[in-house]
Amino acid sequence: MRCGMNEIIGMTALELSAAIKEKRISVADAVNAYLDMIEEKNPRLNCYITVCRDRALRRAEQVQSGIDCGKYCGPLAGVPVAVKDNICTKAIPTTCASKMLADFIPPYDATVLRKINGAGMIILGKLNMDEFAMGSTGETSYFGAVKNPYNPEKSAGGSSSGSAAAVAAGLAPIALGSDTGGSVRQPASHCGVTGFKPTYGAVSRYGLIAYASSLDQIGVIGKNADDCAAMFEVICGGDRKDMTCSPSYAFKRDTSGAYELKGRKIGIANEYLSGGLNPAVKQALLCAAERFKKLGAEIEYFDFPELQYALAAYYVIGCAEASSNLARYDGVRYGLRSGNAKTPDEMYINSRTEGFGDEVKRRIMLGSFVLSAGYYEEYYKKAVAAKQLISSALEKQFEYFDFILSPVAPDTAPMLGGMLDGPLKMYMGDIYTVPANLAGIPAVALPCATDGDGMPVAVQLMARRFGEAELFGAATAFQTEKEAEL
Amino acid sequence: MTVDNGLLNRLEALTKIKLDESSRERFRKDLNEIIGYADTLRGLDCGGTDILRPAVTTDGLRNDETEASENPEKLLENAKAKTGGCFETAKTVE
Repeated sequence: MRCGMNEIIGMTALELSAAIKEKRISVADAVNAYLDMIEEKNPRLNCYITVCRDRALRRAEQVQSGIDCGKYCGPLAGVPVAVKDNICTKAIPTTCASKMLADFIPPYDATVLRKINGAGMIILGKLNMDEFAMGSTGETSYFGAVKNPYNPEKSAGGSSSGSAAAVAAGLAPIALGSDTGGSVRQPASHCGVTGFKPTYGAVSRYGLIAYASSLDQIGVIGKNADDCAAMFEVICGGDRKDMTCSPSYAFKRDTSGAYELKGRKIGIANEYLSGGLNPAVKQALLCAAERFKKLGAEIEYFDFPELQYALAAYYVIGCAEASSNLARYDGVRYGLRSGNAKTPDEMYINSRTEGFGDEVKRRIMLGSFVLSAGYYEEYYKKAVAAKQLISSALEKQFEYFDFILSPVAPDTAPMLGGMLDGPLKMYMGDIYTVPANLAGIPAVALPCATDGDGMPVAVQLMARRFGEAELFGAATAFQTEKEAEL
Repeated sequence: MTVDNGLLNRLEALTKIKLDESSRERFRKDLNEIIGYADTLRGLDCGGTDILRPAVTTDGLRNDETEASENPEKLLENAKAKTGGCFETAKTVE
């Protein structure tokens, strides 16, 4: 029996691919259903910067033929996917949500794009985000803020705001984002979807427009952990064009559903439960711990005093690397060039001043400050020391624990405009997500509750480096148990 | 540590970004707040920190062989001005 549009939009990415292979729907049906949803809802939610309607429909025909002749037979063949607009897509504008790159059309595909095309997936379009991935509310985008599908007066989180809101609102079955300090997990939490950040070095960053190269990772936002695992299997693996990407790592999604949590040790840091944690978030964390217990895991608490340095270390290192990475935007080779310049110096200054938004300028300035003579020792070197300290502390914890459970963010989604009275307030929201980036470990945000206003709350599960198989096993067991409860 | 107008001028010069008068005070205040928070790190002992330690150790280096790179004409397509296969900029020599 053929499926209707609502049924198509309600399917997970894996269910959608299965329905296509069983010929209950065609690839064109799936693509058209999502394009219709985008047309209907995107003007209100502002998830997409570019929608590739004609291209997606042409590609749907090619993919259908590929599936019919056995060329595409993977678990995500035929599935439409949306891509954060800081991942280069050949011949499709890639703006980084910045005036600086508003006209930029990459001459090449990012490695992840090559892989998802090879898996028979179809690009629906490019997703809105905080400018250059710098922000936690989606409001720094040159193209306007993304609205939260649960309440359009609230932020969708950031920086992968469009990725999370699109999956939550049924404008994409699955999406790629990027995570430098929580930019996949935090918006996923605010929008009630699953957000996964891989181990640093598991996915190629070639073609990801750099913010902070030692922390950036491409991640996945999906309807559940199993969809994220399937996408991760597609995009992970070595790449000669990214030497920080491990050539020997391979991940195979476990389809047996037999992961056993019995006897696994899950740690919760005492520091997670103190400070300014919203009571609804704290309650969600404790309920999630109970659910893991019910599944047979053992919950224990530990001290994590190094957490006090995490946020400062992240912002110092992130901004230092951003100041270097964004030096390339000088108006010469690509990006905005000011029409108001007679000398090269005027061209650099005016192009950068006109092309960057305030948050990007602030981080470039902060980065230049911490790297400059007289302050390097006091800030940058200390931040690197803190990064190594946090990394070692977590490594030590993982000698005992299988997983660490934490909140994703101290609060649920803020009102749009609610964070504009000072950047430090916004930065504080990253406290629970940045340690995974500093230590390079994998982490997943799992939606598990709502607050009193009906806004989603998620918990974060972290595993040791390259522990994705265990992480997805536990996350899927958790979500299966949750479905059984409902 | 305080960001004053002198330091802000220096940061503008370093970053090739010019702040307009209306935003200077806001930037100064924001940078002071953020750097004040980063002062959390100042008490940390850096003994034993290898600043050059790579973020991750990779287990493979590629062979030192030349390979085809992207097409130069394609790479020039995003330039606002180009001449004879080169990027064109404002005049650098008077």
